[in-house]
Amino acid sequence: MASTPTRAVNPARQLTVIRLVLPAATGTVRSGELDCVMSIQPSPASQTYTVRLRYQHGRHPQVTVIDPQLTLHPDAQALPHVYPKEELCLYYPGEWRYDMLLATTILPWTAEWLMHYELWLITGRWTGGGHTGRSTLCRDRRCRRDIGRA
Amino acid sequence: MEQMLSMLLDGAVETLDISPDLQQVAIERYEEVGTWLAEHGGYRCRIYPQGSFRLGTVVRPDSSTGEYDIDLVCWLLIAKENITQADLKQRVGDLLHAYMRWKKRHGHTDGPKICEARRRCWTLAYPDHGFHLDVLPTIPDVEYPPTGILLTDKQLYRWQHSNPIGYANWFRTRSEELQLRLTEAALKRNVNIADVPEWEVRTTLQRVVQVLKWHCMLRFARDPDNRPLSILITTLAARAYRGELDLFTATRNMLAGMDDHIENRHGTWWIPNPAHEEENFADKWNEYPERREAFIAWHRDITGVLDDLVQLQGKGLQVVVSRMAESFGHDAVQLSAQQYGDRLRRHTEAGTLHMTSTGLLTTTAASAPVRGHTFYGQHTDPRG
Repeated sequence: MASTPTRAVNPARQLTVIRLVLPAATGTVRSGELDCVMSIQPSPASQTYTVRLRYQHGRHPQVTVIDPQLTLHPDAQALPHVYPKEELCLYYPGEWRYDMLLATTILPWTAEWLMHYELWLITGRWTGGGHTGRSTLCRDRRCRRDIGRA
Repeated sequence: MEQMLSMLLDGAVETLDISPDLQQVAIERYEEVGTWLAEHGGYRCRIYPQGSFRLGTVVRPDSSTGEYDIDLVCWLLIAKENITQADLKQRVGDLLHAYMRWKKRHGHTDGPKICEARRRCWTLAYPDHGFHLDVLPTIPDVEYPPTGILLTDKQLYRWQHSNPIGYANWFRTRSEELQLRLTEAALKRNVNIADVPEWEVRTTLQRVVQVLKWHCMLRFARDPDNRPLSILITTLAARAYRGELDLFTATRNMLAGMDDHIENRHGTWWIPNPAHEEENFADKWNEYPERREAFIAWHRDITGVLDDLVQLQGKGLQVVVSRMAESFGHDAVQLSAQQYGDRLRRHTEAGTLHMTSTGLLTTTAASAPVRGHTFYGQHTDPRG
């Protein structure tokens, strides 16, 4: 771990702070890997999502939604802003660093992702901003025009 | 939850409201008509707005043209003994046609394209701008000074009493928020508060009226004859208003309180005009009982929708928005949801978004701020 920045926050401390921010979160740290499950309801209207966060010291945090299963806008073929295996894409490379607390970055970013996901289910338009390598909305050109006009 | 529903409803109604630019164009057009009439008409006369345009409760009609109706009073200083109803209507029509000819003669292209007679009023059409002016011929009502007016009935037979300025003054008294906003506007412009019109601001009371009228318009799209009158809804709403600032809560409370203001005077349904007690906004209910039934059905419907929306707490924003769209129109509600998402993103960018201990995002609580970030993907190996 010589390459890890000296100010990196270790997984045990990350978990402690996560529990301070979301007291209902449960998790373990084994062999330097944090595995944490928590409930997030991003707005009073929103569903309550069970989210799993895994983080190995010195690597990138991985966030997946365990429940309910994520669904698609009727005109879409894929979820916006996800990596393979439906791992949520929450930040641009460089925006998250090892010296940051997951509880004050990845967790609220997840809440925000979920909020924009629910809005996307209605409008088919991702309002969360960000970059995509290719279109994540409806790939049907005719449909996309409809969304543009709405 | 109520706050969120308010935001969504507010956003939807905002899309149906007349834009400030269009409002300004409409004002310029009718002021020009008024100035011209004063200079060329040969009478002392005034033109001023009435109804929803005056109150700031306009909603775009759900018609094929979607044109905004702007109701105006054309007031001529003539004693009722000196003119018949048919003459009054004809004189105003002649003046408006003369105005159109004058505009054309002077090469002006911004005048009305058409001037045509309706049953009570004259309509000046501005199709390029998406609105028309309905000009109602009136004379002073000396029994109800200073703002009472007399207008022609549909058969041009009897004089009808009216008092749009008095009504707007009453409407103003129903909301402290409205008075406060008008006072602020008056101070800013250094004018008397009486000179700041209601239509310049939008307050919760005005927004509730817009929400109710819009729902009613959609609900009776195929049955316009039985659609409850806008003035009736506006009056009941304003009477039932208790100063709530949250749009959704205010709307529910006002609906719940409306019944208390529907009177039955010896078997006659009665909703008095607050500016003219003898005028009964519910007089048609007595002649056509199905219109009262239609009002009750509408009231039950919208109350049910608002109850449903609260019950959907925790079911997903997408479920809430779908339900709202069923009753308040797909396009308006969808656009509102999109704007909500855009606002959320701006809060993130500005660092004013926070998360509570249950994962709720909020822009007010003093909880952990959300650090700026950028959603990124879909990439096969995005983090490399």
